Amino acid sequence: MPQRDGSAALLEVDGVSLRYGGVAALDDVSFTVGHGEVVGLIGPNGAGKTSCIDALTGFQPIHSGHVRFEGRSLDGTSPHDRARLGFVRTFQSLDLFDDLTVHENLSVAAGTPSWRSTLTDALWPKRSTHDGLDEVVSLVGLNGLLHRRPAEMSNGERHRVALGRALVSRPRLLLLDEPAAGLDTVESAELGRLLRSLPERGTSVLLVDHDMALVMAACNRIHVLDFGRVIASGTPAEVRADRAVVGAYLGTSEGSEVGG
Amino acid sequence: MLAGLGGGAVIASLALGLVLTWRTSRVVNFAHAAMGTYVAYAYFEFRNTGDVVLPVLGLPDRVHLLPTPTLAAALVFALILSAVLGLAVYWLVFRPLRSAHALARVVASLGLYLYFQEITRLRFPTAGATAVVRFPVLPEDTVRIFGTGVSANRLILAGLVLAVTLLLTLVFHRTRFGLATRAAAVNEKGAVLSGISPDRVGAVNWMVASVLAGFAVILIEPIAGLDPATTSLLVVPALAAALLGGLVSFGITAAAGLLIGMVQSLILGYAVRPDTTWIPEWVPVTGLQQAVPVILVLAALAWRGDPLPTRSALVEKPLPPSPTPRRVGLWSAVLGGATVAGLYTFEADLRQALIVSLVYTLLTLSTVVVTGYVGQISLAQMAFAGVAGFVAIEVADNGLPFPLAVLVSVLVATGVGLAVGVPALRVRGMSLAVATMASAVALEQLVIGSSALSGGVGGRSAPRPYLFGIDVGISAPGADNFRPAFGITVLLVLVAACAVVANLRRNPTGLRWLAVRANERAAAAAGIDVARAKLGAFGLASALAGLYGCFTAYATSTLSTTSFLVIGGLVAVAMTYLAGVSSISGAILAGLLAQAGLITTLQSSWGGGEPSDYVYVTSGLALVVVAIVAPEGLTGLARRSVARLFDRPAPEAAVIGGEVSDAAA
Repeated sequence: MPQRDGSAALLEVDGVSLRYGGVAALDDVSFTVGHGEVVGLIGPNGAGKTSCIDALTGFQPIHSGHVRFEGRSLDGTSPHDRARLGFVRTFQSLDLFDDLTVHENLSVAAGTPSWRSTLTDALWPKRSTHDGLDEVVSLVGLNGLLHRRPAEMSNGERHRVALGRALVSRPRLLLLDEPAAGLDTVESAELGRLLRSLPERGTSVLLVDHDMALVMAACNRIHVLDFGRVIASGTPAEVRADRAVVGAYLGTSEGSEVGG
Repeated sequence: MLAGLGGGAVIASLALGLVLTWRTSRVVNFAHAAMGTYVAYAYFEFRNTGDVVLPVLGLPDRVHLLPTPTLAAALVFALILSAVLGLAVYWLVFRPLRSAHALARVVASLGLYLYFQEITRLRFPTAGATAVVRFPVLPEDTVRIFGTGVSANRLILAGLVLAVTLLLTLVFHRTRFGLATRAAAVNEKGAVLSGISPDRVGAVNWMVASVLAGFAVILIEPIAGLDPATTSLLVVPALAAALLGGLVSFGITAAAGLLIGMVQSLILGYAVRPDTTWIPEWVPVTGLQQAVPVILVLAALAWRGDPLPTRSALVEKPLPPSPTPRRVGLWSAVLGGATVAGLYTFEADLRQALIVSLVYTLLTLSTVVVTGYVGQISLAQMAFAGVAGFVAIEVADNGLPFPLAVLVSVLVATGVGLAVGVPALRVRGMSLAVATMASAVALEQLVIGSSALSGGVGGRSAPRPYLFGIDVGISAPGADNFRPAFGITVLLVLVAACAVVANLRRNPTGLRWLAVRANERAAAAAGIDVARAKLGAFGLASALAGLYGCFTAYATSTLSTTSFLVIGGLVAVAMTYLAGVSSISGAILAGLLAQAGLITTLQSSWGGGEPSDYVYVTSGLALVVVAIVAPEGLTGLARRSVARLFDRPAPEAAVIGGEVSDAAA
């Protein structure tokens, strides 16, 4: 993989395997995400994309292999600690906190609690809620919606809440699980523009999606998964031309052989 | 060891019914053994007198059916009665609740538990006494196996259980009906589309489960006797066995049930042997016998993690919304002022009722924190309170002044709560309810029940409390009893507790709690330490329960274990849910609704009518009704109605409110 000025990549995935019972969901998967990159992870249905996100973020224990983030091994690090390290994910099903308002959905992800802050919480009536959410709110376009609850919002708005909640802690790396699912083309294009602007804010992106237009437009590099293995890596143009990829997407079970 | 076969067979049989209803309706039916107990009492009554005793409030108590029923007639009667009960419970309660939140189903089954246990007590006033002539169904001759004498009925019981297990397994895996049950439990819509009626499948399975429970209790009578409270609590070891079977496997469940029974009998045999000297005298032997299998199960649960599937094809409704506390200072001033006024103007009986409600609110507040805010169903709060109450007396007797004794016992309660909370982190939903109930039973039997702590039969008395030299004790001679000074002390503690809870709820800590309640994996993804959030809530809730225990100790002339029974804990959770589990106002209303609290006392002094015997039965019933029609509780209902009133008139809200208050009255 080409690395800028030889420094370690932001995220290094090294030989990760994940099994459910006897089924290998991920088989020796390796790739990297560099600083300031927007990397795509694509593949047909059942290729192991969501499994890959679950494995990287600690929601599924991996069988073998290593994940390193900013040069630090994440072995044995819990999901919430990974999030606090600046490695944040979203969910395909959004998983918003339905009981909380939009403002609360965002602010709950913003702070890191300590024993002292808990004590203050217990003794102080209501602390100031000016917690630097404004920037994210305008970035994802939630102005005027802060006091709504997720149930009262459209699908597109709910997607923006999920994105805002993930961005509010200013993560170093954002893993997006199908962020464009159910969005119309206009919303999807907006999302693409937003994702390309994230590296300037110090947030690199690993984007998992079906929407090829979005992935091709937003990403610097793309990794292609099929049957739990990385079958191709490269720039959008390279991947588009890769015959293994074409084979996999056309649905032949041995895409690489057809392609090769 | 073989002597435990009988008890084991009954546990196994109850556990099979629990697995059956779980596989059918995703309900852990806490009322399972209580229903069986009612059937058993009704069976013996019918056999003795030929009277059919009806378990429905409002209908006549009994109807004379036959002059001298034969054994066969009585058994047929028990069969029909238990089947009808099972059908009624499914059709009226759990079928409407199938898409409700797990807590609503837990609460409904707790309501049924209360209802059946208390209706048994009311309908059979001689319950527990020996007035009823019993007719053993099975022969009681002794058979010799491996050189030990075993009563034949135990062997037959064990054999019957194995036969039933085999039959259930075969039916579930080899017949279309079993397939239909499994399909309907996993995906009701799909089952309907493929021509299966989930209602019919559910009805049949609930009837079978109820019959199993009824006959289990009838058959255990010659071995263990009957008692509405004790027999209903057989559900705890049965739940243990069912959980070991993952609530799925009939075979493992039956084996586990038999094993638990045998272990219990082994422990009993070992503990009472004259050469067993290492067990201190103050350890209650029956407690040991009850608690050890429960502790084993807790360990197994914690080690295995949650055996219950958390995803269901039916979309579960969320817990009732938790409104942000507003105008806390104003409300504290208004309610606090009213309380002070009441303490100084009421007669002694109403002062007593007010103090009962104040103290009880500490307990219901603890349920609001752990269950309402964080979504963790804890049925052990009363047990934490019991530990704290007796610890307070113990340390006060050793010379610690009042406020320090309270502090120490609250810290102990918090420690015990965290000790229960840590293994409970690995389970959630229904399994957590089971695990905490098992903990409550273990604490009641082993810790609170030990004579060293609770003073045995005589109970214990707390020394008179002084705060900065002022006498804040509750008692005084004659009409001066229930002194306002004590009431004001409790009030100050309660206001402080409510303020802390309100502050936490309004601040980021409370938001994290609600986030955990709403969605654990999303909370983890948002950087929230789910385990820590839950433990923090467990700790705070245990401290509040500890405060309740302390002030109960100081408010009671002679404190005994009966102040902290498991059933009382279930009532407290139930009352809190009824009043509104996710808000402080709900805790306060639940406190006012407490038994012998302000509302019931006013009610009986005005109406002069309702005997307090019916409190448990009616609250059980009210609980079931509220769980079905108004899952947000009475305060939530009121809040919604008020909001609608200002928005636009909403006649239907008023109708629902009317139904609920009728049922609660």
